[in-house]
Amino acid sequence: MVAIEAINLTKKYGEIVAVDNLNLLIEEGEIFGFLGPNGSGKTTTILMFMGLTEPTSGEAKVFNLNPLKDSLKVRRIVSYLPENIGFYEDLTAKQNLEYVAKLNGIPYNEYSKRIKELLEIVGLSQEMNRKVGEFSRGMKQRLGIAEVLLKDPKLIFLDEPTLGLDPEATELVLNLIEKINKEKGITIFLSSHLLHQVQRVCKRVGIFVKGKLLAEGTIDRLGKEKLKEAYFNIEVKVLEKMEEALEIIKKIDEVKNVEIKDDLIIIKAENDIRPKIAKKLIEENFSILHLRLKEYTLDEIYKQYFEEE
Amino acid sequence: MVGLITVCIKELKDNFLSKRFIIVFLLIYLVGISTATLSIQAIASVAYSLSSESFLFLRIFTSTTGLLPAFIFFVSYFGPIIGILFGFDAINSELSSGTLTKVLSQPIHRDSFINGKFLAGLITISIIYGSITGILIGIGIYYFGGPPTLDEFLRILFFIGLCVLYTVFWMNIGILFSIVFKKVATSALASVAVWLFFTFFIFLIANFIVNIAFPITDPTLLFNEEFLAKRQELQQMILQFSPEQLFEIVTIVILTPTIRTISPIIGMETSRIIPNPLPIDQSIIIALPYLMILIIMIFICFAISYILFMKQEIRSGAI
Repeated sequence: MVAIEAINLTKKYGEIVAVDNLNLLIEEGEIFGFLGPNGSGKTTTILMFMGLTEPTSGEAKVFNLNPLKDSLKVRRIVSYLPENIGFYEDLTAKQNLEYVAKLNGIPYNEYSKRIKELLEIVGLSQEMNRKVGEFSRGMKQRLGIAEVLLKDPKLIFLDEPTLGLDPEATELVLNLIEKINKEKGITIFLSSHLLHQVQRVCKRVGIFVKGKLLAEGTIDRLGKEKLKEAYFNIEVKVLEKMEEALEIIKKIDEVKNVEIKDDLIIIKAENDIRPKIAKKLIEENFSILHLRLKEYTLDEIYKQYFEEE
Repeated sequence: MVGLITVCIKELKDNFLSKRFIIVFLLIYLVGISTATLSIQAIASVAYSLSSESFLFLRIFTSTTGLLPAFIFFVSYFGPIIGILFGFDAINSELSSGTLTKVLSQPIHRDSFINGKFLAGLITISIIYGSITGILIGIGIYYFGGPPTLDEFLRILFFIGLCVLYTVFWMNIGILFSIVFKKVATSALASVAVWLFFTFFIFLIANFIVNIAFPITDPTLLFNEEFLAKRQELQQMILQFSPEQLFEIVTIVILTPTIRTISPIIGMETSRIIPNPLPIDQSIIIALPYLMILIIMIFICFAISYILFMKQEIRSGAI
C-alpha cells in the first residue's frame, strides 16, 4: 500500500516558493530519507502531509487520505516529531506523555501501561518522574520518539531527529529508528541534512533542494548517476617550471581542462590518465612531486546536487 | 470534544499550580478583603441609622472609607491586569517552545486548543471572583447579623458575572496579542499599552475632542446648562469606548438600586426625582445598552483571535 503520495504539491509563501511541484511516492514499511540543506522546504512538505499547512496547489495524500479534509483520521495514524521538539518543561516526562495520550483519546488503563513500555524502549524509565526541563537534548529526543509511538502510528515523520546530538545519542536514536521500522513495520519519513546518518538507515532517499526534488532512488544508484556525469579530477605538482608542464599536459587528448590552483595543476579528464601524464612529464625531464586522482566521496556527490541549484 | 476538555483541564491545572497565578490569587485576596473589610466596618458602625432598604450588602462593594478605593474600582483597575496575565502568553509561548506544533499534530480540531484555553481562563477567573465575593458576603453576614435579601443576592451574582466578563475581555486582548506577536514580551507590552490607553489616555482624548466640538469661546457659556450638558454628553459617548467606563457604569447601576438614569441630568429634572430603589430587572434594563457593548467587544475580540489562530502558520522557524 502507498503510504505517502504527493502530486504536483506546491507551497508558496508570497513570492517565495517553498515547495515546487513535488511528486513523490513512498510505500508502506519503507524508511525514506528526505535530504536537503537547511531552508530547502523539508519541514513545509511535512506540514502539508500532516494537514497543518494548506498547499497552494497540488495534492498531498497519506494512506490515500487528504490530510486537510480528513485531518483527524490522518493525525490518528500519523505521528510527527518536529525539529525542535517541544515539551512542557514544568511537567515530568510521564505527565507530558499522558497529556498526548489523552489528546489521542487513549483510555487510562491502556496508556498507563503503554507509557511504561515506551519509556523502557527509549531507555528513560529511570527518568520517568523528572521534569523535562532538566533533560538533555538527547533525552528529549528519545522522549520525543516515545511520544510519537504513543498513538501506535502507521507512519512517522521525523524532522532532523539527530540534529545537535552527540555521536552516542545519535547512534541511539538511529538504532531506535531502525528498530521501530523493523519490529513494528512503521513507515518512516526521515528528513535531514546530515547525509552520513541518513545513509545508514535509509534504503531510498530523495534529494530536495530549494523546493525541488532533484533526484530520488537508492543511494547506490544516485551515486553512480552522479559519478558518471563527473570528470576525473587529477592533481599534479612538479618541482619547477609549472607553466611548461601545463602546456605539455594540455596536449594530451583526453584532457578537458587544465588550470593552476595554489601551486597544483588541476586536470579534468574523461578518464584516469595518470600513467599517461607521468610518462609525458618524465619524458620531458620534469620532477614529479605529487600525482593524485581526486576521488568522489558520497558527501561530494550530495554537495554537487546542492550546489547545482 | 475530547481535545477541548483535555486542553481545558490541563490549562486549569497549569493555572492553579503555577507560581504566577498563586501570586495573583494572593494579591487579589489581600486587596479585596482589606478594602471590603474596611468598608464593612464603616457601614456596620452606622448601620443602625440606615433603613432596611439601604442595601447593606451592596455597599460592601461600592462604598469607600477614604483609606482605600471601593472594591468595584479596585476590580476596574486591576481586573485588566489579571485578565492580561491569563492571556498574554497563551499562544506565542507554546509556539516558541514547540508545544503548539506537537499538540496540533494530535487528532484534535485546531480550535479545541484556543477554545480550551479560553474556557480554562473563564473558569479560573470565575473561581477567583466567585470565591472572593463569597468571602466578603460571609464577612458581611458576620458584621451585619443577617443574610442578604434575595434582591441583593441576585445583584451580587450579576456583579460577579460582570467582573468575570470584564476580566475575560482583557484576557481576550491578551490572547489576541499572543497570536499577533511572536514574542511574549511584545504581547505583554502591547496588552498593557491598550490598558493604559483605555484607563488614562481616553480621558485626554475625550477632552480634546469635546474642546474642539464645543469650544468655550465665551465665559458666559460656563453657566449655560444646555451647552454644558452637550459637552458632557459627547464626553460620555467617547468614554463609552473604554471597557473601564462601561464596567463602572454597569456595576454602579446594578449595585446602587436608587440610580434611575445614566445620562447627564439637567438641574430642573433632578428636583423631581424620588430616590426610591428600583427592582433588579429595572436596573438591568438601564444598564443593558452598556452591558451589550461590553459583551459585543468580547465577542469581536475573541472572533478576531479565533480567525487569526485558525489561519496562523504554526511553525516557529523559517521556511
